[in-house]
Amino acid sequence: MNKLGRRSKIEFSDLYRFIIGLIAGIIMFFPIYLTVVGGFKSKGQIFVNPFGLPNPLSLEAYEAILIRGQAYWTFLFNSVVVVAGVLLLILTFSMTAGFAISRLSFKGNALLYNFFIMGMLFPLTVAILPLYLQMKSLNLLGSRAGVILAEAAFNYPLSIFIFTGFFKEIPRDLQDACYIDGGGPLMFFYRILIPLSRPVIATVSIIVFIMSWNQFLLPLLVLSDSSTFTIPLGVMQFQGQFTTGWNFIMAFITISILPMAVFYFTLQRQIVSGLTSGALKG
Amino acid sequence: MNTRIDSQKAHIKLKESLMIIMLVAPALIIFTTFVVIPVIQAGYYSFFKWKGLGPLNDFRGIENFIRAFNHPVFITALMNNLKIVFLSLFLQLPTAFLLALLIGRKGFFGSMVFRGLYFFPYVLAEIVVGIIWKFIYDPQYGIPTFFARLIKGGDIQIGLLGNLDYAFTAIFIVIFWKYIGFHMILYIAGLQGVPKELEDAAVIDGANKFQVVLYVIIPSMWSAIIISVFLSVIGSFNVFDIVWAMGQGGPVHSTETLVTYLYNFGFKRFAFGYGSAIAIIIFFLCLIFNIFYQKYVVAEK
Amino acid sequence: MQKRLGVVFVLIISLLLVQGAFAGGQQEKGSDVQGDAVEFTWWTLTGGGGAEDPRINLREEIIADYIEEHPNVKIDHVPLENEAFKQKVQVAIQAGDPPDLFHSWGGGVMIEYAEAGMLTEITERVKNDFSNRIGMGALGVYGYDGKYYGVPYDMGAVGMWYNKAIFNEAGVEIPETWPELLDVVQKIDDAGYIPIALGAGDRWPAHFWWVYLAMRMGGQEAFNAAYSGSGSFADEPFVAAGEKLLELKALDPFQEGYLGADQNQQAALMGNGKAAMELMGQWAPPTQEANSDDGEGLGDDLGWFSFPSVPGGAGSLDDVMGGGNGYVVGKDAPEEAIDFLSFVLQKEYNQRMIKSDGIIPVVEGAEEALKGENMQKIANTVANADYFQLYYDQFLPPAVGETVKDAVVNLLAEQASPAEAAQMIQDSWEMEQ
Repeated sequence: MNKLGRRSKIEFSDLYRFIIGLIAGIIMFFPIYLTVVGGFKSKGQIFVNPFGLPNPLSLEAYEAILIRGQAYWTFLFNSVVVVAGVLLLILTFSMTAGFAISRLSFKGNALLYNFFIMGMLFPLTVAILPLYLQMKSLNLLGSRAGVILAEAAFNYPLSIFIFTGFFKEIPRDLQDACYIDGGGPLMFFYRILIPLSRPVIATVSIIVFIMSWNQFLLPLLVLSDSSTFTIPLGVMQFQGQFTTGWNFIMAFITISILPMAVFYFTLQRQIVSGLTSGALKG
Repeated sequence: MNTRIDSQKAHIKLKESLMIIMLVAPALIIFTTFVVIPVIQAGYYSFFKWKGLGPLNDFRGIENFIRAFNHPVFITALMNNLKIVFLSLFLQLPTAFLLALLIGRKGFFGSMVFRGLYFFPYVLAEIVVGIIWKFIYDPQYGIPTFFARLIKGGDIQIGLLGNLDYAFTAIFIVIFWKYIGFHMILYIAGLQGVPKELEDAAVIDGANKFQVVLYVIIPSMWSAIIISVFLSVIGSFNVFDIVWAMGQGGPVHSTETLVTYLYNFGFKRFAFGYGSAIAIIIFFLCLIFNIFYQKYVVAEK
Repeated sequence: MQKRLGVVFVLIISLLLVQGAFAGGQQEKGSDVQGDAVEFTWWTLTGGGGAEDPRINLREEIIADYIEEHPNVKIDHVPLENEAFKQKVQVAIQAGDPPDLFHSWGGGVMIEYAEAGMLTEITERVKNDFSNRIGMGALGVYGYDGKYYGVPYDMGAVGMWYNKAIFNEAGVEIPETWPELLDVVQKIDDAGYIPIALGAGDRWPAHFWWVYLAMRMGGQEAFNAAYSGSGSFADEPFVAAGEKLLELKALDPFQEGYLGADQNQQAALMGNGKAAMELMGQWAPPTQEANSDDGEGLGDDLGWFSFPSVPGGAGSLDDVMGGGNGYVVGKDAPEEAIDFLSFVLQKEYNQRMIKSDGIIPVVEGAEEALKGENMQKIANTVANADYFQLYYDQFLPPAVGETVKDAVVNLLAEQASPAEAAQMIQDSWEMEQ
């Protein structure tokens, strides 16, 4: 009797939660809805009827961007190259650094950690001109490699912070067991830490992916040939001094979000569990 | 005998040091080259009057810093940043926490979908967010105008971004919208570390919902709160793209933040030494916060 | 086995990535090796719209034509959107690495670059070549102290664009004096339209109003005095300009939220027939079209007149504020870049830019292709100007130009009095001396 009463109460409160959640969801999603439907409207429609569904559906904007114009595909390719490069640099080297800092004892361990963590306090804008000069002296201007290296550099603090925090929580016994079996620290890193870190890797990946995919200022300054431009630079090309029209901009934004959305929704489960086991224990 | 062990030890030690260097070096080199050195250079420039062109020879000591604190627009920018910090901590984060409580429980119907909806704005580029919201706030077609017409009727127009009294609020709404999902995800992650037994025990002891949240849930997910507050404050001091896209710090500098101020009064006016000084001020504000936070909040835990 | 495959796969991917990543850098290096091959960079402004932009298309075509004649030349064309261009070029200049040929509005910003040694002087070329087909007035915007650093392809005037249909409906005529304008504003307001569209959020559209008023009040003399130091930007004509602007503001002539509106919103109000007037440059018609709901703009209903004179002011109705677009030559640019610039400034291309860019052409004879009464009026106004003033925000040093724009918006927002606004500008001017 008691049990039954409690259960029905929970179900009621679930309905209650669902309704509130739905209302909040609609509010949160509305701007994105506007963008997506905006891309399917004709130029006049978007002003006459900014909020409603497109009627009639116009594929004009998408056709212009995806089929007639080649630019989007170039931008997409460049964005993928840059993001993949940044991910590679971040995942490998912040894991090795995080491993050394958290699991190996050496002098200057804490100092090194704080040195990296300080980097979180700098906005990119602070150092944009000296950074540009640095790139120039290293002959990196105009190349995607320059963008990749700089973006990776600005993301080491957070990723090392997260990895170190996670590695620290792994019981000492595991490491000892590995040593007793005759494995060195590298064996421990490769055989035990990496497989255990999957959720954290997912978390760092999504954070870095989002940052790199959306980064605007850095690629703008480093890249000069439009064949190397990334998607945010492409978005910028669309809203210039003499705008093409909101429907084009909305359509372009929609397709530029798409790869990101796919990435997020495939990794969504891992992100939450990754944050639980990773970042929060830092 | 003894020396043999010693040399063996030394050998192992050398091998280990080499390994540590190999592990740490790549990240360290990249980080130093592209972050640390440029930032130190910016610190050096901040003592000069320099247009960014030609030689660096007009040393002015701390004049740039004094000038900043005597400039009313800088004070506005600083106050705006503090307002963003304050509003984020006392409005955005609690709301994110409530959302997490609302939908964060495992097995709640639609939980994943709602998470996706709330988190989604976070994945958008700030430049894109600026464009979308400028459309939403458009005085002719936008949502505020739409509602004003619905309520009052007639051909009224509401231009929030052009209004000195409301532009800041309008921009804060966008910041609120964009980052709330991120903090909610952090809290959901934290919630999963709250032991269910503890919660049940509290209920049996007669605690009401509010007490459960206050005395059981919040203490158990304190590390999630700590990191969310940290990222929120540091992020608030570095707000740029959104404000820039929504009106470049205007109207009349009323929505200026420290970084847009840096851009408007450093970059745009060819006042590079001055801009660097602003950058250094931002860095020290973050650093001071960080020190206090580590000492009084993180250490308490 | 599976694991090993995985490793191989990762290796291949990384190799591909590294190659892709460095590709850009390698291309640049490769060019130095070949004997007489010449490569230079050209940064231009786009109108937005990415690959579909007619401005980009035209310039690509010009490049193709040039390369056909000069197969040893390779031109790196970098089209950039307005704000992005400004950011990028500034950083490149500060790093001592300007592009070989790049867009410029001339004036104070260009002078800063030139004084820092970032530009190549092309005075000889201007005298022997460009001056044969481009008027010295327009060329003057790209020179100072008798030295030239670039060449314009566009030179126009800022003036009043108006909607003829609204004027008819309200029963008003084109105003020739400031009081007449105020009267027209009142009548249009009564007729239920927005008298004046203004995108004061971008600041420069607002600064046009104040600068024109200052020119009408003080004429060339007041400006020259302030500029040379014998007078000041806080002098009476500049204060009076602010007072006149406040007279206009008192009638509440602008749309709701104009302080936060940008130039596109301003253009949309005109293009959709909601506002009766705007003060804007020669590029107004295509901007209005692009921002209008139907994409057509006002068509024949759009008219143009000169900024009204102000009774009691020292300036004349023939004094013109305007400006245009052009290209300057970066330091260390190869001779071919200058040669190419000369190639770009052919009558044919300049005429085609009328359509693609919405310009007022500067090359002799190209103005024949100007369509419509408005454009011809502007071209004539520029040609007949006694005193041609480049926009203050371009003409003055960047820090002062920014301050002028700030001051005018402060004035409109009632955050500064006319005297305070003028003093702000003078203070910033003195700091730059």
